Amino acid sequence: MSAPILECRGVGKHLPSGGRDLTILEGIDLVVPRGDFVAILGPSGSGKSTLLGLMAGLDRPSSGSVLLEGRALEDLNEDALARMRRRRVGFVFQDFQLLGNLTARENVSLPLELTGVDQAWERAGDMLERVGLGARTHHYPSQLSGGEQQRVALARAFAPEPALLLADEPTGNLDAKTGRAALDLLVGLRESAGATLVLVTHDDQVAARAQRRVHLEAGRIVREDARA
Amino acid sequence: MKPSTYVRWMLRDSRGARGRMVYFTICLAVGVAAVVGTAALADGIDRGFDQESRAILGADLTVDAKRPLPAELDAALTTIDGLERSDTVETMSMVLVPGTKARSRLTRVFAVRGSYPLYGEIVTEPRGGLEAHLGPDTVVVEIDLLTALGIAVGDSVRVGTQMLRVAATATGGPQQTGFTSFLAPRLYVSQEAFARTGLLGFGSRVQYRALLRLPGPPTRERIDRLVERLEAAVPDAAYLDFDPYHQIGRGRRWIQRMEGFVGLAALLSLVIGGIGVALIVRAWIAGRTRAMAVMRALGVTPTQILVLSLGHTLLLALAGSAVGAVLGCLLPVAVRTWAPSLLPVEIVSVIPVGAVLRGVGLGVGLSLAFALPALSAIWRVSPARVLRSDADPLPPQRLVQVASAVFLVGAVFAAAVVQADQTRHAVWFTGGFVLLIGLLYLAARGLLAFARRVPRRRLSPYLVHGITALARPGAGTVGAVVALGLGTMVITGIALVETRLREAILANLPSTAPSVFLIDIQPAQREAVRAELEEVGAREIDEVPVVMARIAAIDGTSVAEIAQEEGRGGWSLTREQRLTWRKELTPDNEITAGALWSDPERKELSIEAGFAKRLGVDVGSRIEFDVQGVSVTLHVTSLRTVEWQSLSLNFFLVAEPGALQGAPALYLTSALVPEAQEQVLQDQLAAAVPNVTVLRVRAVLDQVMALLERIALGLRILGAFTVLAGLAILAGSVSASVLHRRREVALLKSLGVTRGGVVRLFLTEYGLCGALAGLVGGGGALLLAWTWLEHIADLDVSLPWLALPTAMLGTAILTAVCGLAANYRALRVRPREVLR
Ligand SMILES: Nc1ncnc2c1ncn2[C@@H]1O[C@H](COP(=O)(O)OP(=O)(O)OP(=O)(O)O)[C@@H](O)[C@H]1O
Ligand SMILES: [Mg+2]
Repeated sequence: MSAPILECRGVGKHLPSGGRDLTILEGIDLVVPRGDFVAILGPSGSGKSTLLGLMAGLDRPSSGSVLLEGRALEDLNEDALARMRRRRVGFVFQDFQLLGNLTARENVSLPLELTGVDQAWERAGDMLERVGLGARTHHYPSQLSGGEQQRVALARAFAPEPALLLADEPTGNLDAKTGRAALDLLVGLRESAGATLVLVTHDDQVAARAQRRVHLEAGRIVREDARA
Repeated sequence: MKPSTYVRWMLRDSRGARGRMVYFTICLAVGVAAVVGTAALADGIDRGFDQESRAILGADLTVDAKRPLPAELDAALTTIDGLERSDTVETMSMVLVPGTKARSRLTRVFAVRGSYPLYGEIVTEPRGGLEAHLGPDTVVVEIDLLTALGIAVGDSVRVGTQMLRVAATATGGPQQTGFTSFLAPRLYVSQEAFARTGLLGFGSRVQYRALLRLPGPPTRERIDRLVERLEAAVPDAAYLDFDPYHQIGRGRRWIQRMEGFVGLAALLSLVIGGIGVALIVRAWIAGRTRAMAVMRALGVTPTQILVLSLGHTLLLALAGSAVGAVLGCLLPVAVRTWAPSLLPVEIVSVIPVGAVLRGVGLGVGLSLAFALPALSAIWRVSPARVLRSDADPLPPQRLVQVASAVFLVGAVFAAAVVQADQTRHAVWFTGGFVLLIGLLYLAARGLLAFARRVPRRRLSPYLVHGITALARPGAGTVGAVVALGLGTMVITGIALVETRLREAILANLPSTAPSVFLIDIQPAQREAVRAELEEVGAREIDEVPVVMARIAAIDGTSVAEIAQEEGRGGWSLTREQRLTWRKELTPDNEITAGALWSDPERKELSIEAGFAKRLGVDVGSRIEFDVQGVSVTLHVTSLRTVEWQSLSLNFFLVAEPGALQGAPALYLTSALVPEAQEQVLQDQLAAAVPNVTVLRVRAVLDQVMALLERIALGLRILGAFTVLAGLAILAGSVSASVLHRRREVALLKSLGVTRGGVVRLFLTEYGLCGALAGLVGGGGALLLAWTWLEHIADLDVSLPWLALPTAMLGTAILTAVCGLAANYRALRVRPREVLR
């Protein structure tokens, strides 16, 4: 079997805070095999977002090591990290994080242009079509509803066909119905692309669809369970 | 990433940044316009001077001698292809109309050959020019001579031994420099007719002159090379006087001295624009951190973002510089159209390529340099911001910070070197700039510290909130104080320098300056002349002896040898010098080295400092003079500076009384004669002492006055430019903070603060910023003005300390008003906006 796509070895994150050392994450060991769907659960402030940031190399651990496709992220500088993300990692955020001065289509085509793929513009259009926004391609994020914005964000994340997809409470800002729809879309896209997905959520119903659930509490993994 | 992708992204990036782009352009354009405009103006004036000087000389170059020009010179000149030449022989002589009541007039007699002059024109009446009217027994005269003699064209006058008929009148023509050129009317005669007049035989003062005009553009270098070549061709060329066009021209020196100052002042506008640019870029980057974090999360490298932002800045810089360059090019045109009297000479209009290149180069270079420290913040944008909006920025990279600061200072210095005429001034400029920014920075930090610690009790809540708002993150207080302070400094500094300089210039305009000079008074005539002067009510009568002499040797080395040395002496060495002796110096002289008549053992000499430098002598040097055949050795015991503007009788060389004992001296007298009496005096002197030449210089005086007044006016215009730049900054640094003001106002209102309350809040905040900036900037202005006036312009001035509180109050009010105006829209915002 090939190497796991993502591996955390004793990852910890501490922040100096008012003279004391604030521990946000401690001793996280986690292996994510290729093609898996892993849900990370936990109460607010338990360190879920922080862990996700470390997995993507957006932030650096204070101790331990994160390996993406076997390469230790701490050995890479900012430019190399960015190049790594560009080719291998897709993102979906709770608050969508679309670029406000770009249209929906431009937002989607940006990562494609970045990797220099052919026909980035056409593929961005196709991608928006797939998420059901074929008619809204020229609209700016401020002209779209929250659910629509999240669908653009999904299109942007999947367009470059990343091997690893990280999602931080992608439905947290949406009402229940819209959230469910967005999640269905996310899971569906993942399946057809065969990508690995790490999803942060505190919605048990959502987590139930994952193959594995990792429970965080106060910066530590307290429980792990797999779907029967 | 493909270049085309960069361009596409850059264009997308500029969406919604129109306001910023406009402001960027204005900031930069004002500065670039100042640089290009002043450079173009200076260039135009320079060319104008060149043209005027050629017209004054009537040639590119003249060669003069007190004896006939040597055959070697003629031979050397004929080898030059296309060279035009015209010759004159000039002497002063009485021209008369014989008759019952003899009338006579001292006249400058010009015997001309060739098409005289080579530049400019002598207009004759009847038309045709000199060549058409000069024959074997005709002359052409200036109309003054006809009036003075009471005759008309067609009558005859006696010149020397000949009766010659006046064929035409003449106006215009070269006006040779030197006093003898004034007032005595001119008479032109052909060289054959002149030979018959016998005027050459009298041993009187005769000047032989060749006027030369080069084929093609007569650049200064070509003229200088020609002079070298001619000097080499003539053995013992020391007695030849070369006058190249580029070394003459009234007021030229003054203008050149001003150019360095003007250049730096223009640069100051540009630097201020640069600070505006830095502020805009900073606000821009700050507004884009979220987008940058997203881009980084998507895999765009920090380097790529930097390249993008740099490209963006570069585009804006080019646009702003282009606008500025166009405006700058219009400046000379505007000045010529609306205020032609402002300029001393007619400006020659050409597209100032050099000025434009310089302006655009400096504009683009400086805006990049100023943007760089702000752009380096891009490295610090943490991609983790996409997960937590308050994620800490990445740690600053010391190296990047230091490097961008060093680059900025280096760029300012390089620009100053380009703009200043002396590297020393560029060093001062840069040093002052860094010092002031440092001071302003410290002052701003102090203000922040105060704002954090402001006592909350017993102060009005508005005041407290207004003060603490200064310290809120992202308030940009430091940047605003630095920019406002610099703006204040420039405006106040320029105003101070300008008014002081104007005062100094106008004060120097001597009400006691002489209006007439009497030349060649023989010792026996001194009494008679003085009596005549007193009779017409002359004041400020000053009489000095004049001894003509040549320098034979300096410190034992002969002048011929010294003349070979690089860079020493030149023409000043070999000219016939005028010496005088005086016991005491007039007040417009100031000893700068040594002491006057301090050595009882020796015959002493006091030299004007600049002249001493040209000769390469100093206190302690020994100069041997040839005083009309007799050798006299004088020791230099003092150097002095002279305020030539006073127009009183001053000499480069002043000897100790008695040192020139027995040397043949004539006397030179200056006096201030009531304007109405000048003609009377002239007539009476003509009758009593006909050999004495009367020069009326009221016209010259008026010219000098006019020139100085123009310079003062020019300063005013320049001041206006920097004020404009300063105001742009002021408006900009205020409006840079306006963006996040809308939400703040909405929030305050939703919390129940009235509009009046918000106004009071803002007034406190902006007013404090302005007052602090005004204080430091005003102090800097005093320092700048004092340094410039004292050390560069050499003026003794007392500075008005009142400027300090004025600057402080003025800036505070202006900033507060600008702040409110810029926030006008924000003030009207509805509280519900806070929900969006
Ligand atoms: N830069 C930082 N400075 C201070 N505290 C931080 C920082 N980053 C994270 N924390 C703290 O670490 C803890 C974990 O934060 P994190 O955002 O990972 O939680 P989370 O599990 O994602 O919570 P939520 O479900 O609310 O999003 C929190 O207590 C947070 O306040
Ligand atoms: Mg979170």
